[in-house]
Amino acid sequence: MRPGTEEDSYEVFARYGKQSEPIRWVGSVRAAEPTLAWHAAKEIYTRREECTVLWIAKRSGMVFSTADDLESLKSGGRLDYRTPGFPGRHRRDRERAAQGTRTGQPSTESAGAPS
Amino acid sequence: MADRALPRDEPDPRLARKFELWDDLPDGYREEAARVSSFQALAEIVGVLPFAEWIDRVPDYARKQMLIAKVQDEVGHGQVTARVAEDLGVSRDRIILDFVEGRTKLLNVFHFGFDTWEEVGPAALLMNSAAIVQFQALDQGTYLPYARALRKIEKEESFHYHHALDHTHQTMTLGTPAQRALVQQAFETWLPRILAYFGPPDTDTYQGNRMYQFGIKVSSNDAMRQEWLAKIIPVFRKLGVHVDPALTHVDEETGKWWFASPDWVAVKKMLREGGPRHEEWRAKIADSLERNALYRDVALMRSAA
Ligand SMILES: [Fe+2]
Ligand SMILES: [Fe+2]
Repeated sequence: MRPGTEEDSYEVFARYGKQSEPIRWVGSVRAAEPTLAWHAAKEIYTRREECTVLWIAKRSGMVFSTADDLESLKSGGRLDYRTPGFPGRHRRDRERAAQGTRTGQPSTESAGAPS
Repeated sequence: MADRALPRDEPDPRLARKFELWDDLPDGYREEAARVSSFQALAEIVGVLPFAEWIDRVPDYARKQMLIAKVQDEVGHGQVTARVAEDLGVSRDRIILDFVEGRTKLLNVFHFGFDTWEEVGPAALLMNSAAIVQFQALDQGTYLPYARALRKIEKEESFHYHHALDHTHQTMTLGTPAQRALVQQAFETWLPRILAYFGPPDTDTYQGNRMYQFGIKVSSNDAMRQEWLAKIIPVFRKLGVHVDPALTHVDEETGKWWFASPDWVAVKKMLREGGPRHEEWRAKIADSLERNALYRDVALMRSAA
Protein backbone atom coordinates (compact mmCIF):
# COMPACT_ATOMS: atom_id res chain seq x y z
CA MET A 1 0.00 0.00 0.00
CA ARG A 2 0.94 3.60 -0.41
CA PRO A 3 -0.13 6.55 1.71
CA GLY A 4 -1.38 9.44 -0.41
CA THR A 5 0.87 12.47 -0.47
CA GLU A 6 -0.85 15.19 -2.48
CA GLU A 7 -2.11 17.99 -0.28
CA ASP A 8 -4.16 19.71 -2.98
CA SER A 9 -6.02 16.72 -4.41
CA TYR A 10 -9.30 15.40 -3.10
CA GLU A 11 -11.10 12.21 -4.05
CA VAL A 12 -14.83 12.61 -4.59
CA PHE A 13 -17.50 10.14 -3.47
CA ALA A 14 -21.15 10.44 -4.34
CA ARG A 15 -24.43 8.63 -4.16
CA TYR A 16 -26.81 9.23 -7.01
CA GLY A 17 -30.49 8.47 -6.62
CA LYS A 18 -31.99 6.12 -4.09
CA GLN A 19 -30.79 5.69 -0.51
CA SER A 20 -30.17 2.03 -1.22
CA GLU A 21 -27.54 2.90 -3.86
CA PRO A 22 -23.91 2.57 -2.76
CA ILE A 23 -21.78 5.66 -2.22
CA ARG A 24 -19.25 5.39 -5.02
CA TRP A 25 -15.94 6.99 -5.87
CA VAL A 26 -16.53 9.26 -8.87
CA GLY A 27 -13.30 11.19 -9.48
CA SER A 28 -11.09 13.85 -8.01
CA VAL A 29 -10.77 17.61 -7.77
CA ARG A 30 -7.93 19.95 -7.02
CA ALA A 31 -8.26 22.59 -4.30
CA ALA A 32 -6.26 23.99 -1.42
CA GLU A 33 -8.85 23.50 1.21
CA PRO A 34 -11.67 20.98 1.91
CA THR A 35 -14.71 23.24 1.62
CA LEU A 36 -13.48 24.61 -1.70
CA ALA A 37 -12.86 21.05 -2.80
CA TRP A 38 -16.41 20.11 -1.83
CA HIS A 39 -17.83 23.01 -3.84
CA ALA A 40 -15.69 22.11 -6.84
CA ALA A 41 -16.94 18.53 -6.56
CA LYS A 42 -20.52 19.78 -6.38
CA GLU A 43 -20.09 21.89 -9.52
CA ILE A 44 -18.46 19.09 -11.49
CA TYR A 45 -20.15 15.90 -10.28
CA THR A 46 -23.74 16.94 -9.61
CA ARG A 47 -24.58 18.65 -12.88
CA ARG A 48 -27.35 16.32 -14.09
CA GLU A 49 -27.72 13.44 -11.72
CA GLU A 50 -29.93 13.42 -8.62
CA CYS A 51 -27.07 13.47 -6.13
CA THR A 52 -28.03 12.51 -2.58
CA VAL A 53 -24.63 12.21 -0.89
CA LEU A 54 -21.39 14.05 -1.67
CA TRP A 55 -18.14 13.47 0.20
CA ILE A 56 -14.58 14.50 -0.44
CA ALA A 57 -11.40 13.11 1.13
CA LYS A 58 -7.93 14.58 1.00
CA ARG A 59 -5.52 12.28 -0.82
CA SER A 60 -2.83 12.81 1.78
CA GLY A 61 -5.20 11.37 4.37
CA MET A 62 -5.86 8.19 2.41
CA VAL A 63 -4.02 4.93 1.89
CA PHE A 64 -4.06 3.31 -1.52
CA SER A 65 -3.41 -0.27 -2.56
CA THR A 66 -0.66 -0.87 -5.09
CA ALA A 67 0.04 -3.66 -7.57
CA ASP A 68 2.07 -5.42 -4.86
CA ASP A 69 -1.06 -5.83 -2.75
CA LEU A 70 -2.97 -7.61 -5.46
CA GLU A 71 -2.32 -11.15 -4.26
CA SER A 72 -3.06 -10.38 -0.64
CA LEU A 73 -6.31 -8.69 -1.64
CA LYS A 74 -7.74 -11.61 -3.57
CA SER A 75 -9.48 -13.77 -1.02
CA GLY A 76 -10.31 -16.63 -3.40
CA GLY A 77 -6.99 -18.49 -3.32
CA ARG A 78 -5.83 -17.29 0.07
CA LEU A 79 -9.04 -17.83 2.00
CA ASP A 80 -10.85 -20.58 0.14
CA TYR A 81 -12.19 -22.04 3.41
CA ARG A 82 -14.46 -18.98 3.47
CA THR A 83 -16.09 -19.80 0.17
CA PRO A 84 -19.36 -21.73 0.02
CA GLY A 85 -17.75 -24.33 -2.27
CA PHE A 86 -15.26 -25.34 0.42
CA PRO A 87 -17.57 -27.24 2.82
CA GLY A 88 -19.50 -28.62 -0.16
CA ARG A 89 -16.36 -30.12 -1.62
CA HIS A 90 -15.61 -31.92 1.64
CA ARG A 91 -19.09 -33.32 1.77
CA ARG A 92 -18.88 -34.57 -1.82
CA ASP A 93 -15.46 -36.10 -1.15
CA ARG A 94 -16.88 -37.94 1.85
CA GLU A 95 -19.88 -39.15 -0.14
CA ARG A 96 -17.66 -40.34 -2.97
CA ALA A 97 -15.40 -42.13 -0.49
CA ALA A 98 -18.42 -43.86 1.03
CA GLN A 99 -19.60 -44.86 -2.46
CA GLY A 100 -16.13 -46.23 -3.24
CA THR A 101 -16.13 -48.37 -0.08
CA ARG A 102 -19.48 -49.80 -1.07
CA THR A 103 -18.31 -50.69 -4.60
CA GLY A 104 -14.93 -51.78 -3.33
CA GLN A 105 -13.01 -48.96 -4.97
CA PRO A 106 -10.92 -46.97 -2.51
CA SER A 107 -11.12 -43.20 -2.85
CA THR A 108 -7.95 -41.47 -3.98
CA GLU A 109 -9.26 -37.98 -3.26
CA SER A 110 -7.58 -35.94 -0.60
CA ALA A 111 -9.56 -34.11 2.05
CA GLY A 112 -9.06 -30.95 0.08
CA ALA A 113 -6.70 -29.09 2.36
CA PRO A 114 -6.29 -25.45 1.38
CA SER A 115 -3.27 -25.06 -0.84
CA MET B 1 -10.35 3.57 -47.18
CA ALA B 2 -9.63 1.58 -44.06
CA ASP B 3 -12.38 0.46 -41.79
CA ARG B 4 -12.23 -0.25 -38.09
CA ALA B 5 -9.81 -3.10 -37.64
CA LEU B 6 -12.63 -5.29 -36.37
CA PRO B 7 -16.39 -5.02 -36.22
CA ARG B 8 -17.67 -3.48 -33.00
CA ASP B 9 -18.93 -6.69 -31.43
CA GLU B 10 -15.69 -8.62 -31.82
CA PRO B 11 -13.25 -8.08 -28.98
CA ASP B 12 -10.20 -6.21 -30.20
CA PRO B 13 -7.03 -7.72 -28.68
CA ARG B 14 -5.47 -4.23 -28.65
CA LEU B 15 -8.11 -3.15 -26.12
CA ALA B 16 -8.09 -6.26 -23.95
CA ARG B 17 -5.58 -5.11 -21.37
CA LYS B 18 -6.68 -2.01 -19.46
CA PHE B 19 -4.56 0.21 -17.26
CA GLU B 20 -4.99 2.24 -14.10
CA LEU B 21 -2.72 5.09 -13.05
CA TRP B 22 -0.92 2.89 -10.55
CA ASP B 23 -0.29 -0.05 -12.90
CA ASP B 24 3.06 -0.65 -14.52
CA LEU B 25 2.55 1.15 -17.82
CA PRO B 26 4.30 0.13 -21.04
CA ASP B 27 7.14 2.40 -22.15
CA GLY B 28 5.78 5.62 -23.58
CA TYR B 29 2.20 4.86 -22.54
CA ARG B 30 2.14 7.47 -19.79
CA GLU B 31 3.21 10.21 -22.23
CA GLU B 32 0.53 9.26 -24.74
CA ALA B 33 -2.20 9.13 -22.09
CA ALA B 34 -1.06 12.52 -20.75
CA ARG B 35 -1.01 13.91 -24.27
CA VAL B 36 -4.56 12.87 -25.14
CA SER B 37 -6.05 14.02 -21.82
CA SER B 38 -4.27 17.38 -21.70
CA PHE B 39 -5.13 18.01 -25.35
CA GLN B 40 -8.78 17.40 -24.59
CA ALA B 41 -8.67 19.55 -21.44
CA LEU B 42 -7.45 22.46 -23.53
CA ALA B 43 -10.08 21.85 -26.22
CA GLU B 44 -12.86 21.81 -23.61
CA ILE B 45 -11.68 25.06 -22.04
CA VAL B 46 -10.94 27.05 -25.20
CA GLY B 47 -13.94 25.44 -26.90
CA VAL B 48 -16.31 27.39 -24.66
CA LEU B 49 -15.11 30.78 -25.89
CA PRO B 50 -17.04 30.82 -29.21
CA PHE B 51 -20.17 29.93 -27.21
CA ALA B 52 -19.54 32.10 -24.16
CA GLU B 53 -19.53 35.29 -26.20
CA TRP B 54 -23.13 34.52 -27.20
CA ILE B 55 -24.39 34.39 -23.62
CA ASP B 56 -25.26 38.08 -23.54
CA ARG B 57 -26.66 38.08 -27.07
CA VAL B 58 -29.02 35.10 -26.93
CA PRO B 59 -32.47 36.27 -28.08
CA ASP B 60 -34.36 33.86 -25.81
CA TYR B 61 -34.30 33.41 -22.05
CA ALA B 62 -34.54 29.60 -21.86
CA ARG B 63 -31.84 29.25 -24.51
CA LYS B 64 -29.65 31.63 -22.55
CA GLN B 65 -30.01 29.37 -19.52
CA MET B 66 -29.21 26.29 -21.61
CA LEU B 67 -26.21 28.02 -23.15
CA ILE B 68 -24.88 28.98 -19.71
CA ALA B 69 -25.36 25.37 -18.57
CA LYS B 70 -23.47 24.15 -21.63
CA VAL B 71 -20.59 26.54 -21.03
CA GLN B 72 -20.38 25.46 -17.39
CA ASP B 73 -20.51 21.80 -18.43
CA GLU B 74 -17.62 22.33 -20.83
CA VAL B 75 -15.48 23.97 -18.16
CA GLY B 76 -16.31 20.97 -15.96
CA HIS B 77 -15.13 18.68 -18.79
CA GLY B 78 -11.94 20.70 -18.84
CA GLN B 79 -11.50 20.07 -15.10
CA VAL B 80 -12.23 16.37 -15.32
CA THR B 81 -9.81 15.77 -18.21
CA ALA B 82 -7.22 18.08 -16.63
CA ARG B 83 -7.36 15.88 -13.50
CA VAL B 84 -6.50 12.86 -15.65
CA ALA B 85 -3.54 14.78 -17.08
CA GLU B 86 -2.48 16.13 -13.66
CA ASP B 87 -2.34 12.64 -12.20
CA LEU B 88 0.00 11.78 -15.08
CA GLY B 89 2.23 14.73 -14.22
CA VAL B 90 0.96 17.49 -16.52
CA SER B 91 -0.46 20.34 -14.44
CA ARG B 92 -3.40 22.41 -15.62
CA ASP B 93 -1.21 25.49 -15.37
CA ARG B 94 1.09 23.95 -17.92
CA ILE B 95 -1.77 22.97 -20.21
CA ILE B 96 -3.02 26.55 -20.25
CA LEU B 97 0.42 28.17 -20.42
CA ASP B 98 1.51 25.93 -23.29
CA PHE B 99 -1.45 27.26 -25.25
CA VAL B 100 -1.07 30.88 -24.23
CA GLU B 101 2.63 30.83 -25.07
CA GLY B 102 2.02 29.14 -28.41
CA ARG B 103 3.44 25.70 -27.75
CA THR B 104 0.23 23.76 -28.35
CA LYS B 105 -2.15 23.89 -31.27
CA LEU B 106 -5.91 24.10 -31.11
CA LEU B 107 -8.29 21.75 -32.90
CA ASN B 108 -9.33 23.29 -36.21
CA VAL B 109 -12.96 23.86 -35.18
CA PHE B 110 -11.95 26.17 -32.35
CA HIS B 111 -10.16 28.63 -34.61
CA PHE B 112 -13.53 30.10 -35.58
CA GLY B 113 -16.46 31.90 -34.05
CA PHE B 114 -20.13 32.22 -34.96
CA ASP B 115 -21.36 35.18 -36.98
CA THR B 116 -25.07 34.76 -36.29
CA TRP B 117 -27.31 33.14 -33.70
CA GLU B 118 -28.80 31.02 -36.50
CA GLU B 119 -25.32 29.62 -37.16
CA VAL B 120 -24.82 28.51 -33.55
CA GLY B 121 -27.44 25.71 -33.69
CA PRO B 122 -26.31 23.76 -36.77
CA ALA B 123 -22.60 24.35 -36.06
CA ALA B 124 -22.99 23.06 -32.50
CA LEU B 125 -25.07 20.14 -33.77
CA LEU B 126 -22.29 19.12 -36.16
CA MET B 127 -19.62 19.59 -33.48
CA ASN B 128 -21.47 17.79 -30.70
CA SER B 129 -22.40 14.80 -32.83
CA ALA B 130 -18.77 14.50 -33.95
CA ALA B 131 -17.54 14.73 -30.36
CA ILE B 132 -20.02 12.05 -29.31
CA VAL B 133 -18.85 9.65 -32.06
CA GLN B 134 -15.26 10.32 -31.08
CA PHE B 135 -15.81 9.93 -27.32
CA GLN B 136 -17.83 6.75 -27.72
CA ALA B 137 -14.85 5.23 -29.52
CA LEU B 138 -12.28 6.64 -27.07
CA ASP B 139 -14.16 5.45 -24.00
CA GLN B 140 -13.43 1.86 -25.07
CA GLY B 141 -9.74 2.69 -24.75
CA THR B 142 -7.22 1.11 -22.44
CA TYR B 143 -6.52 3.97 -20.04
CA LEU B 144 -9.32 3.64 -17.52
CA PRO B 145 -9.14 7.05 -15.78
CA TYR B 146 -9.56 8.71 -19.18
CA ALA B 147 -12.31 6.30 -20.21
CA ARG B 148 -14.21 7.09 -17.00
CA ALA B 149 -13.82 10.82 -17.55
CA LEU B 150 -15.25 10.41 -21.05
CA ARG B 151 -18.27 8.47 -19.85
CA LYS B 152 -19.13 11.26 -17.46
CA ILE B 153 -18.64 13.82 -20.23
CA GLU B 154 -20.81 11.93 -22.74
CA LYS B 155 -23.93 12.33 -20.64
CA GLU B 156 -23.57 16.10 -20.77
CA GLU B 157 -22.59 16.08 -24.44
CA SER B 158 -25.87 14.38 -25.17
CA PHE B 159 -27.66 17.33 -23.55
CA HIS B 160 -25.66 19.74 -25.73
CA TYR B 161 -26.59 17.69 -28.78
CA HIS B 162 -30.30 17.85 -27.99
CA HIS B 163 -30.10 21.56 -27.26
CA ALA B 164 -28.39 22.20 -30.61
CA LEU B 165 -30.91 19.98 -32.41
CA ASP B 166 -33.83 21.80 -30.84
CA HIS B 167 -32.33 25.21 -31.58
CA THR B 168 -31.84 24.28 -35.25
CA HIS B 169 -35.33 22.79 -35.42
CA GLN B 170 -36.79 26.02 -34.05
CA THR B 171 -35.08 28.09 -36.73
CA MET B 172 -36.08 25.67 -39.49
CA THR B 173 -39.76 25.50 -38.47
CA LEU B 174 -40.46 29.02 -37.15
CA GLY B 175 -37.74 31.07 -38.82
CA THR B 176 -37.97 33.36 -41.81
CA PRO B 177 -36.58 32.22 -45.18
CA ALA B 178 -33.53 34.38 -44.47
CA GLN B 179 -32.97 32.61 -41.15
CA ARG B 180 -33.38 29.18 -42.74
CA ALA B 181 -30.83 30.21 -45.37
CA LEU B 182 -28.38 30.96 -42.54
CA VAL B 183 -28.84 27.42 -41.22
CA GLN B 184 -28.23 26.04 -44.72
CA GLN B 185 -25.12 28.16 -45.06
CA ALA B 186 -23.85 27.16 -41.63
CA PHE B 187 -24.27 23.49 -42.53
CA GLU B 188 -22.22 23.94 -45.68
CA THR B 189 -19.53 25.95 -43.88
CA TRP B 190 -19.14 23.61 -40.91
CA LEU B 191 -19.45 20.22 -42.63
CA PRO B 192 -15.94 20.33 -44.15
CA ARG B 193 -14.54 21.72 -40.89
CA ILE B 194 -15.89 18.79 -38.92
CA LEU B 195 -14.71 16.32 -41.57
CA ALA B 196 -11.25 17.80 -41.01
CA TYR B 197 -11.72 17.72 -37.21
CA PHE B 198 -11.47 13.91 -37.29
CA GLY B 199 -7.91 14.26 -38.55
CA PRO B 200 -6.06 13.34 -41.75
CA PRO B 201 -7.12 10.32 -43.84
CA ASP B 202 -5.84 6.97 -42.63
CA THR B 203 -2.52 6.00 -44.08
CA ASP B 204 -1.51 2.41 -44.65
CA THR B 205 0.54 2.60 -41.48
CA TYR B 206 -2.02 4.06 -39.07
CA GLN B 207 -2.13 0.76 -37.18
CA GLY B 208 1.55 1.22 -36.37
CA ASN B 209 0.81 4.51 -34.62
CA ARG B 210 1.85 4.25 -30.97
CA MET B 211 -1.34 5.79 -29.61
CA TYR B 212 -3.33 3.29 -31.69
CA GLN B 213 -1.23 0.31 -30.64
CA PHE B 214 -1.61 1.23 -26.97
CA GLY B 215 -5.36 1.27 -27.50
CA ILE B 216 -5.60 4.88 -26.32
CA LYS B 217 -6.76 5.79 -29.80
CA VAL B 218 -9.46 3.28 -30.60
CA SER B 219 -10.96 3.89 -34.04
CA SER B 220 -9.26 5.14 -37.16
CA ASN B 221 -10.03 8.66 -38.42
CA ASP B 222 -11.77 7.36 -41.53
CA ALA B 223 -13.87 4.91 -39.57
CA MET B 224 -15.08 7.71 -37.28
CA ARG B 225 -15.83 9.98 -40.23
CA GLN B 226 -17.98 7.24 -41.79
CA GLU B 227 -19.81 6.61 -38.54
CA TRP B 228 -20.44 10.29 -38.02
CA LEU B 229 -21.76 10.95 -41.55
CA ALA B 230 -24.10 7.99 -41.28
CA LYS B 231 -25.51 9.40 -38.05
CA ILE B 232 -25.71 13.12 -38.70
CA ILE B 233 -26.61 13.54 -42.39
CA PRO B 234 -30.07 11.98 -41.95
CA VAL B 235 -30.63 14.29 -38.97
CA PHE B 236 -29.95 17.38 -41.11
CA ARG B 237 -32.11 16.07 -43.94
CA LYS B 238 -34.95 15.59 -41.52
CA LEU B 239 -34.50 19.16 -40.30
CA GLY B 240 -35.09 20.29 -43.89
CA VAL B 241 -31.49 21.11 -44.72
CA HIS B 242 -30.51 20.33 -48.31
CA VAL B 243 -27.49 18.02 -48.47
CA ASP B 244 -25.80 18.69 -51.79
CA PRO B 245 -24.47 15.39 -53.20
CA ALA B 246 -21.36 17.36 -54.20
CA LEU B 247 -20.65 17.71 -50.46
CA THR B 248 -21.44 14.15 -49.45
CA HIS B 249 -23.51 11.17 -50.52
CA VAL B 250 -23.60 7.41 -50.14
CA ASP B 251 -21.58 5.71 -52.84
CA GLU B 252 -23.97 3.17 -54.40
CA GLU B 253 -21.19 0.71 -55.16
CA THR B 254 -19.33 0.62 -51.87
CA GLY B 255 -22.19 1.60 -49.58
CA LYS B 256 -19.79 4.02 -47.91
CA TRP B 257 -20.09 7.76 -47.57
CA TRP B 258 -18.28 9.73 -50.20
CA PHE B 259 -17.42 13.30 -49.20
CA ALA B 260 -15.63 16.23 -50.76
CA SER B 261 -12.23 16.02 -49.17
CA PRO B 262 -11.33 18.92 -46.87
CA ASP B 263 -8.54 21.10 -48.23
CA TRP B 264 -5.81 19.58 -46.08
CA VAL B 265 -3.17 22.07 -47.18
CA ALA B 266 -5.39 24.94 -46.04
CA VAL B 267 -6.27 23.12 -42.80
CA LYS B 268 -2.62 22.56 -41.93
CA LYS B 269 -1.77 26.14 -42.78
CA MET B 270 -4.52 27.38 -40.49
CA LEU B 271 -3.42 25.12 -37.63
CA ARG B 272 0.09 26.50 -38.05
CA GLU B 273 -0.74 30.15 -38.46
CA GLY B 274 -4.00 30.38 -36.53
CA GLY B 275 -7.54 30.78 -37.87
CA PRO B 276 -9.73 33.89 -37.78
CA ARG B 277 -10.38 33.93 -34.03
CA HIS B 278 -7.35 32.05 -32.72
CA GLU B 279 -5.41 35.06 -31.53
CA GLU B 280 -8.50 36.49 -29.86
CA TRP B 281 -9.12 33.29 -27.90
CA ARG B 282 -5.48 33.07 -26.95
CA ALA B 283 -5.43 36.66 -25.72
CA LYS B 284 -8.64 36.09 -23.80
CA ILE B 285 -7.21 33.11 -21.93
CA ALA B 286 -3.94 34.97 -21.31
CA ASP B 287 -5.90 37.93 -19.99
CA SER B 288 -8.08 35.88 -17.65
CA LEU B 289 -5.01 34.04 -16.43
CA GLU B 290 -3.48 37.36 -15.45
CA ARG B 291 -6.67 38.89 -14.09
CA ASN B 292 -7.43 35.87 -11.91
CA ALA B 293 -3.89 35.15 -10.74
CA LEU B 294 -4.52 36.51 -7.27
CA TYR B 295 -7.73 34.50 -6.80
CA ARG B 296 -6.08 31.36 -8.13
CA ASP B 297 -3.23 31.75 -5.69
CA VAL B 298 -5.67 32.27 -2.84
CA ALA B 299 -7.80 29.30 -3.89
CA LEU B 300 -4.77 27.05 -4.14
CA MET B 301 -3.16 28.75 -1.10
CA ARG B 302 -0.01 29.52 -3.01
CA SER B 303 1.91 32.60 -2.10
CA ALA B 304 1.79 35.06 -4.97
CA ALA B 305 5.11 35.03 -6.77
FE1 LIG C 1 -17.28 19.02 -23.65
FE1 LIG D 1 -20.30 19.91 -25.42
